[in-house]
Amino acid sequence: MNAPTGKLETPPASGYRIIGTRPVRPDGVDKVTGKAIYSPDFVAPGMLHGAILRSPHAHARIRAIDTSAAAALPGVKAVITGADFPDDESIIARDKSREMLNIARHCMALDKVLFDGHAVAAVAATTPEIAAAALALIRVDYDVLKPVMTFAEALAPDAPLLHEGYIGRGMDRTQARPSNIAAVTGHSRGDAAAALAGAEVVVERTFRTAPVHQGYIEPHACVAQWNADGQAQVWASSQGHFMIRGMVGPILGIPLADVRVVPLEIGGGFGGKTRVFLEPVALVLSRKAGRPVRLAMTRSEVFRASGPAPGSETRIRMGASADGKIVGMELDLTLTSGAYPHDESGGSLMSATLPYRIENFTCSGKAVMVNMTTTFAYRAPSTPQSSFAVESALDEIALKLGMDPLELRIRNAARPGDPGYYGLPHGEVGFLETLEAAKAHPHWSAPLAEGTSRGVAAGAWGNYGGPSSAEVSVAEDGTVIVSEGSPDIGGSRASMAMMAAETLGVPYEQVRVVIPDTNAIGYTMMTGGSRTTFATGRAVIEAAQAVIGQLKARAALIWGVEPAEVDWRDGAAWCGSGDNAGESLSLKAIVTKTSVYASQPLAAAGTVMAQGYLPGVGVHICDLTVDPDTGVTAITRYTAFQDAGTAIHPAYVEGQIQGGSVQGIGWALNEEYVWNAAGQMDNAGFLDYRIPVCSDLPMIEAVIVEKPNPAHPFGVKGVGEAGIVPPLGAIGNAVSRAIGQRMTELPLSPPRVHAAIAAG
Amino acid sequence: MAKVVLPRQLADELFGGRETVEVSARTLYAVVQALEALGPGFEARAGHALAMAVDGVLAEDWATPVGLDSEVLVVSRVAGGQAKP
Repeated sequence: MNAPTGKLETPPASGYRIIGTRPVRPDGVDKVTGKAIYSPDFVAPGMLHGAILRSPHAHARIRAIDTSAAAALPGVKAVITGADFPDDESIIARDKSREMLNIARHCMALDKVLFDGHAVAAVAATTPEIAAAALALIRVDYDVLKPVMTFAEALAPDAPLLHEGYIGRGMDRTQARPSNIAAVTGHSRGDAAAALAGAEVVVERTFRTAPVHQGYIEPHACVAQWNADGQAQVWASSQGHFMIRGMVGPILGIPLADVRVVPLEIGGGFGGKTRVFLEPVALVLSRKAGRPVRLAMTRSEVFRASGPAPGSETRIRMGASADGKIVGMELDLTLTSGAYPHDESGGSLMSATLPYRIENFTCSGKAVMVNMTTTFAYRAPSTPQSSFAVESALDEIALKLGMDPLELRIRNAARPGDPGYYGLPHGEVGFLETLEAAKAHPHWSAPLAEGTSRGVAAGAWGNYGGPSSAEVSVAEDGTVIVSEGSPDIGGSRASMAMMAAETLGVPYEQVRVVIPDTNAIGYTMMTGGSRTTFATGRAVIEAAQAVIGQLKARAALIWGVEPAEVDWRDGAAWCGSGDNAGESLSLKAIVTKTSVYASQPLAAAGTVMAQGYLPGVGVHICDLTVDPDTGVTAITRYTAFQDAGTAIHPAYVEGQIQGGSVQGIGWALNEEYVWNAAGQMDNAGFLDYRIPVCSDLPMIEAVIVEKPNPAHPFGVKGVGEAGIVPPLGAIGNAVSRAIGQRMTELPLSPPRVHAAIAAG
Repeated sequence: MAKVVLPRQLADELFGGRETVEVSARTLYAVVQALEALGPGFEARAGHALAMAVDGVLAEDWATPVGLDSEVLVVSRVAGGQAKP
């Protein structure tokens, strides 16, 4: 898939030939010329067009569904409802939990709809127009129930229950009563209450954020084929084709080897493409119709029925000594779970507290089910929300103490060896270096123009490693093919090629990277937790090192010496004995000097359970103006600093930092789900759901800090998520300083800011 | 016997409120099996929502050895896109 082309544009980083350079991205030509195949582009022979009927009600019982007229429409080849899915018990039995059942029921309701846009039926027809006409013929008899839309409504003692009998994860099942609480979590250290009682200054606030969407441009789409012999194929973009296989298998009872998932180009995911929404529906339609079926969401469906980020309410009490040491903190976080149980509070609390040394804290969290689409991961899942509270409280403490807010953070920054949230010591975390980089940058010392305000905030995300597979093979002419199990979402084809080329000592242009389907490579965990360059990169390096062993053996064959007499250094084999002692052979020379029949093929697999991952940490500085007459906020300068470990391809790293920053800016200033009284989303389109565009923003300056990770051969830490964490605090702090009052609720849209100014 | 320290909420939900249990195990895999026997549902949770540290070091690989006097700390896992697989 897509060959890398072009020459290195920048000199290599110190000690490396290729790592740290900025070669042309391998997928660029196909993407800018329209040849790249995204999910909605894929066509299979004989393909039918699917469409989904969605509930207009946020909460209702389904009394009956009459599909007879739709099924009778000429051109309609299949009509399905939730009754065509496997029953609850069989899904639970295969999954050994209720998680896949919840995902299945989110994809297609059975007896109750739980959100505006919940699927109730689907059709497959020979044309999209016939499919749409068939949907209009389906009659659904609803018993409309009162929607539960807010935390207060959901937690009221007499609240209607979304799932009768449900007791939240983490709750004592012998004591707890059924409720809309999806899960609870928490952790504490020391004595926060006593520490706060003795603090010089204490800030106590409650912060709120709205549910927001990842806003990827490519909608969810897939083509699926489930044959009469039981074998199935799915063509789709996602953040992990093994994730698709691992969900549709237990949901539909298909052996995993019989589900071949082919990854397509992805037009953005940001955490929102880490679960299935359409694939099981398309497969059931295909099974019934006997032909492949395409399903693709409209933008309205994406907003209403995929997995946006939770809204939040965070109560914080933070106290500090007179010299700016944080002495204690209480943090109580509530997140929106949405229609089915989903909880991100544990990771949120852990990451929000990660940047700082806090000896006394009590953190508690819960996720609450309401009648909106089930929430899901969005870049550093749910950490921007809790971090907004932490960073706002820090800013207020700095103001109360008359301290520089950056100095306050440096004073409290977590260092390597400091205990983390659970007491485990931090590894080589680069937070202090990142703060120092921000302090030394001209932006921090630049004088503010009149009417301009400056905010600063930090943020972190824990990152992850986990299981990955890769293969490296050498072709007969010495070019190299890398196969890897991670879809290319943020530039992994380039970074994998660079790491393989660096390891093998060949030019970057000599390496091509492919992402095979699930039946053609070993299991690889989906792309999430900023794990791919770290974990799959290690699998690629491991495979390349195994190939080096084979190359040494082949060089030994050429020189007539034992393999043990051959060394590999500087990208070449070196002969250590005999007539050729001191001579070297490059990879290409070894391959071209020998026939393919000379020895075993030059190919090896690398499989890892990557450990030793380290957090991503960032610091953002934001300058902005607030128009007092309209409440409109305009960002005039924005600089984002982030520790990348080692930046394999700095341009991609900068892109991740910039992308995360812009998404966080949208979260802070404009984005929110807006509901009407019936629980229907009123702004399910990009005209009304306002994400930032280029003309809204200045250039985001990205500054890469490099403190290598000792657990990765090239020092990678993972950079995909931390960039979205600080903007909420940085912008909130800048606006609060601009208007002279603490802003505690996002988005800081013009009406909200204007109202705050008017209220004085 | 290795000592296993559980988060309070997980202890409440699956282990009758016991935040510390002792298991006989030589690997993390054996620890998981022992905890599954004590609190059915633990293994499914461990695979995608929990992380474990052996003697203060996070260990994602269940082949990680566990000593007789080891302490295994069970914590929430942080990873983008938490649903399994």
